[in-house]
Amino acid sequence: MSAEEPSFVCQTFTRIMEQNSDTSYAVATVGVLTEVLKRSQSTTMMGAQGELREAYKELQKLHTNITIKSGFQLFILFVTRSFEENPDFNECKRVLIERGEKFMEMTQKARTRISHLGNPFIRDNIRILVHGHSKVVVQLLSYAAACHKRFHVLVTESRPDNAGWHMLNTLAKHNVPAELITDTAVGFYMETIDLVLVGAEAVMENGGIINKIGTFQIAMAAKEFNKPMYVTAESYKFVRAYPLNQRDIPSGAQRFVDLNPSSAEIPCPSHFVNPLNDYTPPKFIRLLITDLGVLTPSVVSDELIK
Amino acid sequence: LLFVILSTFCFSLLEMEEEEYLAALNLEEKNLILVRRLLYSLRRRKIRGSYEVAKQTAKLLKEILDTEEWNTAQQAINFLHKLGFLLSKIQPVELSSGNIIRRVLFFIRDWYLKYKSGNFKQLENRDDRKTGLASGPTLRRLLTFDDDDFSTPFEDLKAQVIDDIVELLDELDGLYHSVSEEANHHIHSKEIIMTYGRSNTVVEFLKEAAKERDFSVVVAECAPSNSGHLTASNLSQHEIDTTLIPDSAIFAMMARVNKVIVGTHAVLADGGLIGSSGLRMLAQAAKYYSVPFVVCAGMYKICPLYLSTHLDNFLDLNSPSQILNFEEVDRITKSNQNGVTVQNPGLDFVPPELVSLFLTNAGTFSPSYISRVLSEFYFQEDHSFRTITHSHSQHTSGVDSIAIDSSDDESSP
Repeated sequence: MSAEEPSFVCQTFTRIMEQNSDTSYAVATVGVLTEVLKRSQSTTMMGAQGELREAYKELQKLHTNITIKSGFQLFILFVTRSFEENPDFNECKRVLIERGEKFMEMTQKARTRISHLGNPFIRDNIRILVHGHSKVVVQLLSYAAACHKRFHVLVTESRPDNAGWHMLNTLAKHNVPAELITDTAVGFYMETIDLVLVGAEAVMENGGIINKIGTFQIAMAAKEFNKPMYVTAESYKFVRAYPLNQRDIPSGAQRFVDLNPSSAEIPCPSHFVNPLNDYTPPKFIRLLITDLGVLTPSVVSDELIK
Repeated sequence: LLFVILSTFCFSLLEMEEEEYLAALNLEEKNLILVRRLLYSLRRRKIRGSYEVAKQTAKLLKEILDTEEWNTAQQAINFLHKLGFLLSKIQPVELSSGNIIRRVLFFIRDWYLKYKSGNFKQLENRDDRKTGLASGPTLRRLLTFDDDDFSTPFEDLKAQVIDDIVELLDELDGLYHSVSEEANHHIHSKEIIMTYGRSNTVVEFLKEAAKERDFSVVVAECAPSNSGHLTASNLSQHEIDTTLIPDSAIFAMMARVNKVIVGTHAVLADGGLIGSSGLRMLAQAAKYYSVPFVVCAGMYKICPLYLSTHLDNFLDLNSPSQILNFEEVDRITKSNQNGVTVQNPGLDFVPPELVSLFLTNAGTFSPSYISRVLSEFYFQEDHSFRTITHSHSQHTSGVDSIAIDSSDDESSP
C-alpha cells in the first residue's frame, strides 16, 4: 500500500461527487471502490478485499456518513458473490469493474423507479405532509404533478437547518403546490393530512429509518391519527444495523450541529443541543417505497439476506 | 355456432376500448370466443367468487397457451399481460383472475431462466422452485443488470408451462383438502369457533376437524345476504354443534369465543384482507378480546397489490333491494321528495394488524411473511400488467390509460 493511496481515494470520491451533484454517497463509494479495484495489483481475492477495506477506512475518515457504509457493504457482498460464481480471479475482477462502472447510473435509475412505484399512492385531492429535504421525495412529487394529479403538500420547516425552506423552493420549481408550517404545528395539522411522505438517510435491518430530526415525532403523531407514513428510499441505503432506541443510532448516522453561536436570539448557545438525525422504529412506517419494490418494514431484513 | 351467435348478440357488452384491446390479442377464432365468454361472464357476474374465477381463468389459459402458436417466452408474456389488463379492467373486483395469470407468467419466466442458465439438475427436480433464482430485483442483483428480454426460443418451454398449468388446476381441485390438512392442529376439543358468512374453505376445514375433534361453532349471519344461514345449516348437517347469531351480537358473543376462523375474498400484499362486508367489525371485536383471528385462504387469493393504490378493486356495490326493497322506497319517496340513498357494499377491508394467522394450501404463516411468499410466487415485473411492450418511461398525462401499440402485433400469439 503506497503512501499515495489515501489521497487517491479521497480525490476520486470528491471528483465523483462533483461530477454529478445528484449522486448519493453510496453510489460514489461504489465508484471509488471500482477505481481502487482497477488500480489494484493484487492477484488474489483476499488481497483485493483487503485493499477495498483500506479504501473504505480512508473514506470513513473523510466523511462520516452511514450511506458510505451501506455502499461499501453492498459492494463487498457483490464481490464475494461474484467470486463464488467466477472462481477465476481475473475474469471476476473484469466483471466487477464493468458492473461497478455501470452502477454509477444507479442513483437516477433507482429514483425513477421509485417515482413510478410511488405514483399510484398519490391520489387526487390528497394532502401530503413532508419533512426534511429529500431528493427522492421531490422527484416522486414532481412526477405525480406531471401526471396531472391534484394534491397539496405541507412542508415542515425542519429546524435546525431549515431544510424545509429549501424543499419549498424546490417543490415550487416543479409546480407542486406547497405550504410551509413550523415543526411544532404538525400535531395541529395532522387531522387534515392524508399521508406522510419522507425520505431516509439510511434504512435499518428491522425496517426502521434514520432521517432528519423530527421524523420520529411526526411518525408518532401520524400513528395516533391512523395516517399512513410512507418512506421513499433507494435500496443501497439498506444497512445491517439494528438500533433499539435513539442512542443506538450507528455512529456514521448521527451528527450534532452547532447553531451560529453569535446569533443574538439564542439565550445560551452552549446549552443548545442539536442532533441532526433520529431513528423511527418500523411500527410507525406503513410502507417503504424502494427501487426493489414496495415493501413492508418486515421484509427489509429479507432483502438484505438475498 | 351457438357461441358465435351469442357473442355477436352480446357485442355491446364491451366498450370500444376493450374491443380494440381484445382484437390486439390476435387470437384464433375459437380462442377468441372462449375469451369473450369469460369476459362476459365476469362482467355480468355470472361467475362470482375467487375460486370459480380462478378455475375458469386457469382453464382458459391452458386452452389458449396449448392451442395458440408461440415460440418465445416473450410472446407469451406480452400476450398474458394484455389479457391480464383486460380481465382486471372488465371486472376489477375479481382479483383471483389476475393472480392466476401472474402465476402462469411465473411459470413461463421461471422455466425460461432455468433453461437459459442451462441448469439441468434443476430441471429434473421441479419442486426446486424456492431455492431457484430469486424473482425480481434484489439487493444482490442491483449490480448484475440482468436485462433479459426473454426472447430466446426453447424447445420444451411450452410443454413445461402447460404441465405446470395442469398442476395448478389439480392444485385448485384439491384446494379444500390441502387447506384442511392441519385442521386438527388448529382446533382443540371443547373450543368455541366463530365464523362469518359463507366460505367453502372454512366449511371444509371445520368438517375435517369435526372428524376427530368435538367443538362448537358460532356463525354470524352476514347481513344482508344472510350467507351465514347456509353455513349454519351445512355445518349442522354434519353434526357440528352450531349457533347462528345476527351480526349485531358479534361483540357480545366474542368474550366466549376461543378462535375466529374466516374465509376471505382476497389477500393483499401487506397481509390485509378484502373480505365480506362486516369482516372488519368482527376483526376489531376479536382484537379487543385478544381472540386469534385466523384466515383460511388458497394461495390464488394473494394479490401483489395494496389497498390505497387499488381502491377500484374494493368497491363492489350489491343491489340495495336487499336492504330496502323497492316498494318501501316508493312509499318513502311519496312523502319525501329527496328520497333515500341506500348503499349495499359487498366488500370490506381488514388491516394486517388485526390478522393473526393465514392457513393456506402452501403452508401456515403470519401476515408479515406475505411479502416473502409473494416473491416466491410471482415475479416483480408482473405485479402490474403492462399495456405496452417496452418499459415505462413516459411522462404523459393519464399514466394508467391504455396505449395500444400496434407494432407489437407481430409478436403476439
